[in-house]
Amino acid sequence: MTSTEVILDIKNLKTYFYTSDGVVAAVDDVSFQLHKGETLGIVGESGCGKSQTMLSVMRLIQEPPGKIVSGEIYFHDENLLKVPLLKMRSLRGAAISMIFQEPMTSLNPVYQVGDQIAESLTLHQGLRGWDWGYRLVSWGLFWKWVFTGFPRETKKRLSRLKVETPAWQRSVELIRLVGIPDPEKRVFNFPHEMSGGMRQRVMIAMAMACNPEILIADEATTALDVTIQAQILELMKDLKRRFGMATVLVTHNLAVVAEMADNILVMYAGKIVEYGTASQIFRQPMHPYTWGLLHSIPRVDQPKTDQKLPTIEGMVPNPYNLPVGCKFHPRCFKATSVCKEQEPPLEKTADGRQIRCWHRITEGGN
Amino acid sequence: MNNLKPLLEVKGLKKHFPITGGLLGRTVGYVKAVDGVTFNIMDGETLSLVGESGSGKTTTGKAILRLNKPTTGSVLFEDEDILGMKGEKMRRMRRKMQIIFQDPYGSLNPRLPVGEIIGEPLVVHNLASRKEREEQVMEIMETVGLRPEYLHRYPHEFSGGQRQRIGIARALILQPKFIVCDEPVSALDVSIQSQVINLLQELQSKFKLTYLFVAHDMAVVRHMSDRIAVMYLGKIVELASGEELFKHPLHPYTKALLEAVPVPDPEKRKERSLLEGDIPSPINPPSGCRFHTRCKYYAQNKFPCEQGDYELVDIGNGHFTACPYVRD
Repeated sequence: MTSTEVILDIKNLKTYFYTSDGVVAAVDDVSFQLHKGETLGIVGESGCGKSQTMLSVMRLIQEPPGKIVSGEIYFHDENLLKVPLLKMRSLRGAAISMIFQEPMTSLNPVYQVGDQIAESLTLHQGLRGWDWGYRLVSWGLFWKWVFTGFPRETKKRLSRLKVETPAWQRSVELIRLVGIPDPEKRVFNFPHEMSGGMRQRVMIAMAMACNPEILIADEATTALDVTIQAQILELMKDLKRRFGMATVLVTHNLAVVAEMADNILVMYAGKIVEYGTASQIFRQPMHPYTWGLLHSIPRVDQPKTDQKLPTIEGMVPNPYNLPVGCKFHPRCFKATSVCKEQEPPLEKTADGRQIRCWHRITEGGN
Repeated sequence: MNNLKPLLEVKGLKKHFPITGGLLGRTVGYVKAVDGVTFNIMDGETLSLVGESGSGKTTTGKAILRLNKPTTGSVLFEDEDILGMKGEKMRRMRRKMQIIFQDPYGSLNPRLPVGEIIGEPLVVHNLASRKEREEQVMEIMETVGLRPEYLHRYPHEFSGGQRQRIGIARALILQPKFIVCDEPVSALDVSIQSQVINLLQELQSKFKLTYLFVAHDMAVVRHMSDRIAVMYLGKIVELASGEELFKHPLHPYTKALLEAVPVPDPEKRKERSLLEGDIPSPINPPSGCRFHTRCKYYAQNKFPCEQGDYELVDIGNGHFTACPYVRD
């Protein structure tokens, strides 16, 4: 699936938030590459900077308090941090699009879902939609109706106006593409008339509208039931097979990542702690944090034991007051004095993995 | 761990919420959130209720504690029917049964210091003087892994995991026998979940607690429970011991549910048969077997699933299932 062509190259990205309580390094020196057709999973707990990294790529960081302090984000050969805002706008939602966690809040409750999908098509692909021209015509028809009564034909023309626009037609197709039954009728639905899974499908249809090269799914299945989650994951796999876009999955659910991703990036306190292929990370995690994450979740595929789950002691550090040295050392079972003093560098290993730790776990754990 | 004596017997429990409409607020229909569930919980065991959202798991838990008033049915706690109890007797009964809520943010009063939140049940039941109360609160805080010095702090000063510990301490302070855990770990971070799961298990063996564990995360449920009941649209469709259910699921819904759970192992990726569509509305549930609208066996074989009643049937080994067609 994965080719060697790099489409997104992030170098030393730093996104800081300047609040009245101090500076938060939400994303601190993050570098990685995304290849064509690759599925990358970004894993971490809340507050580790996984969402902020991808929001920085979209340049959707709220400014102030946030600011992309330094770094380069190359999309093909273009530094996204340098392109003018108007150009960025034309890329966002077209070449790079994003699906958010809450399908309830990321859809506009006062527009029909067809209108919302068509909006992206009119903006990016220049398809004629329900624009001012159509509005003027319908306004004219409205007054014709007021003065002359409502002959059947006028009514039909009025209702056909929107449906006949190319953008609307295309949104019906997109809704069919994401597997919503009866698309000709469902395009007229408002978001509240749909279930959570259906709304997430509409979000995916919007994201897919302009055949993006990169699709970012930020906790796209977290709010859904397992049966619906399985449907959405299957849909995303299927779309990927057909359109070959690169996908970034931002999630805290390791099982979802195991199911979908080619490569995995583990983040902790704004930094990358480990990077590798899915089988490398799951077979032989080298960072104690990754090891802890993998072993502390109960497994569906293993029978119940009376043993206690191994845990990661303590909690995620306060972002205003991060520990000195390795950010993970207060919770780490392998920490020594060197971890308290010096931050380990992100090192590359021979087999293409990256790891930030002084005391890697070698074969067989511990 | 299992005694054969049931601590709690639930029989034909129903909870219908009325829907009012129109200008006069007349009842126009009912949401049949729980529609006739029957099960026992043995002394000292963990029974889990699993199912999709909208299947009535939480409502069942709350109805058992009488936090909402069940429409019909009976709940026997140590052979006494608690649905008919009144006044002082009910108050005494409530000491023995407590609940831990899902949302550690919404379930703690932000204006009370933690010591008072945890000690409040003692005040309500008038069980201890001020001084005794403080001692007991500090003791229980230590048991659940909170520093007793935090007594005077407010909930916003704690992280999610610590707040859930506060909720657990509040449930434990009356030394109950039975605790309903309503999705106690689903709002927590991955690394914190295992801490809370371990704590719940430790407390269970220490205080001989009986849990009704309401959850949708199948991995957590497998780890925690002795027996599991699968709910769909207000009814239990399958009930079996944990291992039995995961190894030999019989009801098509249980099978689909287990198949949908992603496995944290990239080498076990699977092509799965998906459950189509969404859970139907509990206002007007499908007739007969409620699952038949999404069931692939029904679609293939045309069993008469849309008629008749499908109640749990014992098929031996403590395994109950409501589907008569897929036993082999």
